[in-house]
Amino acid sequence: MKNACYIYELKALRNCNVSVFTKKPLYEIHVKPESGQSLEQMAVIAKRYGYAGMIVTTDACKPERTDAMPSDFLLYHSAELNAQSATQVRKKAQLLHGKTDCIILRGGSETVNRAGVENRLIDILSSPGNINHVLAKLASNNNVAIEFDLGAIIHTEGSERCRVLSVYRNNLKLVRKYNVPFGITTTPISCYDFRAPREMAALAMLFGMKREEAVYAMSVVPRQIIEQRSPNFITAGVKLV
Amino acid sequence: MKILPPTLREKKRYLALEVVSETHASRNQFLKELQYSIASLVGDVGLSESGLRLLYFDGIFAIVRCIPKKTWVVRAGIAAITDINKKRIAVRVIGIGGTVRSVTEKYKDRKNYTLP
Repeated sequence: MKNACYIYELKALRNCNVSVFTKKPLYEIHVKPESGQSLEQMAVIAKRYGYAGMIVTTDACKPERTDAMPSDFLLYHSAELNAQSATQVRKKAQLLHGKTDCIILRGGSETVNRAGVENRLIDILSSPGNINHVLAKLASNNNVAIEFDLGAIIHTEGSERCRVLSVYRNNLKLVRKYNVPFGITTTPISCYDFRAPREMAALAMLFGMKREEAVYAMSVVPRQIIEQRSPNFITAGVKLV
Repeated sequence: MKILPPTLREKKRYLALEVVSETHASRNQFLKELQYSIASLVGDVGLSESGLRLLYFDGIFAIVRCIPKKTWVVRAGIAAITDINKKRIAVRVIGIGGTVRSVTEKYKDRKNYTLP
């Protein structure tokens, strides 16, 4: 499925009269609670910040809903893949397929990035470093979302932050050109790492992302990923009701 | 001495901030951190252009003034604040208004931002 909806969605977001941030439910796509951090507290904070749901990355089984959680807050589970080689990526993805709502691959090296975007089972490629046109094209064909980790901007300073921003600027250029789905997140490990949607957009604007694109990255892309992996999904635009 | 006529004054926006922190920071510490974080993002020139001013701070609620065109820069700077004296802190913009009064009335007494 080529992301033909990208341009359409952006246009729709741009043409609305109300604020773009209130139009669609927004999601935080890469929540990684550290040990000792309760999920309920994070859910309460995220809800207050204006998110409709979050995708939680845990090694263990799916996070369970408790009574302390806000009732209309959506909770999805994802698994993070750490791999050193292309075969490992394939094997681990095959193992995890169907067990979680979403698979996130931690990229970095050239081979892992390449294996990730070639694999249709991977949903999000996180921290890929500098991508090139080949990777972008493959990611677009296989519907693998590229993640922009704004936490890297928040937690670094000086030359390192400068490097991160230039990498993101380069990635954004390619992502726009090839219509690759992209997501933005701060990778929160505690409740102090969440940022409200408008702040996320403000941070994304530092490397040239438009406000509508930021909303697209927080609403449409996570929605698509979750729908794609739901058991009722058959093919693009067709689902079991 | 005559005061500056209203037409010549800079336009202003007031941001209402909610501060979630492990400790209670003092006003000076918070202002210093805010200025530092904006300056490290957009530089001293950007900071001076934003016309930043901290008008009110009581530990969990703050009002910041800036010029309308730079609200997004200030937002980004606010989002980049992570800690004060090694204690974690998160700051969020609750709302924006055109006068101090409207911002205070609208956002200060809201009870849904108590500490976690």
